[in-house]
Amino acid sequence: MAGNSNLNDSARNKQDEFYTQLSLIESELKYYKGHFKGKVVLCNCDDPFESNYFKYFAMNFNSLGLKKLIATCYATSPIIYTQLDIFDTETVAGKESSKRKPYKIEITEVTDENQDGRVDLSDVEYLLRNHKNVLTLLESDGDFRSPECVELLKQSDIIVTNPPFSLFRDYIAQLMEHGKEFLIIGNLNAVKYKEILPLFMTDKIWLGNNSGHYWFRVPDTYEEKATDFKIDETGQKWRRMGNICWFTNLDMEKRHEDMTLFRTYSPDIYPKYDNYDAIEVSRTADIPCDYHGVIGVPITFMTRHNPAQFSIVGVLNSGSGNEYDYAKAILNGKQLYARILIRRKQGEI
Amino acid sequence: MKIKLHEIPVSEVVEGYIDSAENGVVGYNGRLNIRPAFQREFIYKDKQRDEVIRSVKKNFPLNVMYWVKSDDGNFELLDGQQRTMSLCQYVNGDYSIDHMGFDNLTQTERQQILDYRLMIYICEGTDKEKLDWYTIINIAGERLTAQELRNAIYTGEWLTEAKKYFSKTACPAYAIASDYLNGSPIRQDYLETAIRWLASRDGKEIEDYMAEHQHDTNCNELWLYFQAVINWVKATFTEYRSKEMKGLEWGIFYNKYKDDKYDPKQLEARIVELMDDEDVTKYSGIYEYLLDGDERHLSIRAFTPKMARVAYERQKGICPKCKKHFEIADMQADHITPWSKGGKTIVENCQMLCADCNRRKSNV
Repeated sequence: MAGNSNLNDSARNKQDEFYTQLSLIESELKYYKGHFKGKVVLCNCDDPFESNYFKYFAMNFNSLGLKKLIATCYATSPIIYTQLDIFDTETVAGKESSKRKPYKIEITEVTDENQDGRVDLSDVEYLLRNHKNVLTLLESDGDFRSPECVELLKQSDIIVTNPPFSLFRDYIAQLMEHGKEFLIIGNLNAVKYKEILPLFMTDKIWLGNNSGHYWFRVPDTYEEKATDFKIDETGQKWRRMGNICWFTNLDMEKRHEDMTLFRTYSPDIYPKYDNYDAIEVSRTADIPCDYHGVIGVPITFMTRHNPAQFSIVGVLNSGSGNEYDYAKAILNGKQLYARILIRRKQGEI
Repeated sequence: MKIKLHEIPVSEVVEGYIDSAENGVVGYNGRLNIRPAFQREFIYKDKQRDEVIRSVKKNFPLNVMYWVKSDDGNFELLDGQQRTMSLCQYVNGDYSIDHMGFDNLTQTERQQILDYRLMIYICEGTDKEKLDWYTIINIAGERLTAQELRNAIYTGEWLTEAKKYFSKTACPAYAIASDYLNGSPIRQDYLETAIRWLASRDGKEIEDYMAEHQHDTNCNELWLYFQAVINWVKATFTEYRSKEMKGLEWGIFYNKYKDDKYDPKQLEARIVELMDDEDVTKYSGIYEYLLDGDERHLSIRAFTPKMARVAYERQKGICPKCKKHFEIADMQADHITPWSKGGKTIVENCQMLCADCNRRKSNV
């Protein structure tokens, strides 16, 4: 399946540097604009001036009505300092990776610094160059788990970023622990992680508007691949990732839309699993409108889940290691791919 | 009917712009239905979207757009959805071009966009007049299908509901009937077909049905009817054959023959037999033939000129009915034993009749 090999690489080699395109960020963020007024936004990404998350919020600082924008970078990010030369040589010892120093940016207002009539990214750049207190070096390496970064997290209201896929569990756990609002990009399969599934079951987090296969910029050091890989005319390397979706706890319209169901239940068409009392529905659209027991659906169901229509009961995955993973999904002796278990809400017809 | 050109500044069109995804998109202070609920969603490429903004920034003209005035004084956008959405989204700050969102522009640049005047033809009149007008203007750009045009007129809760079932990619109607219908839900082919079948049952046109039900609160009649048609087809012709069965007028058949008793097993046996018959040249006609018995649906193989010549020589040019002599050009080849009685299209079963006698024979 497209994209999976890239995901596997990410997990195996800790290749976590995937840079989200601005258009992907814009097409998702447009559904949440109302949430940001007066808020402190944190993008703990890799290099603020490489990150389109930082760019998005810097560009829209005033239209969203942000109170503050914080961005941090991570020491080992391979592309740090490549786009904007913000430090002179006295500040930073050198550009070799061993001597890179992580920093943070804190912006509380964006005005027409360079007086060209526009309030835009060039003003943010001006701010960074000329106001030393806007950009400061971090003591530690910029890891999201470092005490310094946790302090920044505590100050923030909403976190929007592309967390390292290999540390996705820890990243979500930290956000939940601190009770933060967030909108982060990830892989659909994370839904079934034992640390994450209960959050979906209790309606504490949900998936965003867009999902699918998307291209991400990757560092030059990443090896070339036969599939889901390209180099554009500027020499930039790209990889395509499958099953990409947004994880959030910000409310939006889509999660309140009911699916129009039209199939009727019959035991012949909807057999039960060999080892678990639930019916198998291999396509979300085929969920019968008149079945009130437990239903097994593919994980992509989650992109259409409306908590008023269905509740999430658990998962059929490996059948172990997790109190909500009840069994493997076995039908007529054959093991199926993981299934999410759902049930209609009471009173629904 | 009135058709008038209006110059409406961008600032007025984007006023009160709300994109509620599935539930539609509105602008012009809530008075313009930019994209009705469950309507085809144009996926405008970033490049095309950006071009609209660049044109406006340079004060280049955009093509005219068409709005329709509804009975309640509001407007339906008929043509120009993509351009309008591009403008609304840009001013709304939904996207940027070269790292420059609307809010990042200078005051002058922003004002210039807001003051840009869109050329909009607004049409007022009866439903019939509007439909005529749309059909005529519908010549440039992304052409609207006949049903898309109807959808622009007969708006209301009934249509919104109907689109849920018939007009989305992977909608319920597609899920149950894609084996039997041609076309695409988003181009409204499914909706059109379903309404046409149901309307035809009562001897009506699509427009009549839509006008009558425009203000219904649900589309249950249409959806239940459509399901009944598909269930009837599946129950009657149990073996599915995609090439022969897809795109037939199943609803029309259902209207006429749903109360007749057929034995699906016998029908299937006849289908196999007919497909095996060398004289049947149109397999898709087999289904209708089995229902109404009219062998014209089957395009029974005709005698070749060579067979006709052999028969003509055998008869020495004499018509076996009226016993008169004719030139071959004035005679027609005919099955001695009719195809329906087992006669084949072979030279032994061919006779040449004069035009008069042949006509008389087929009238019997």
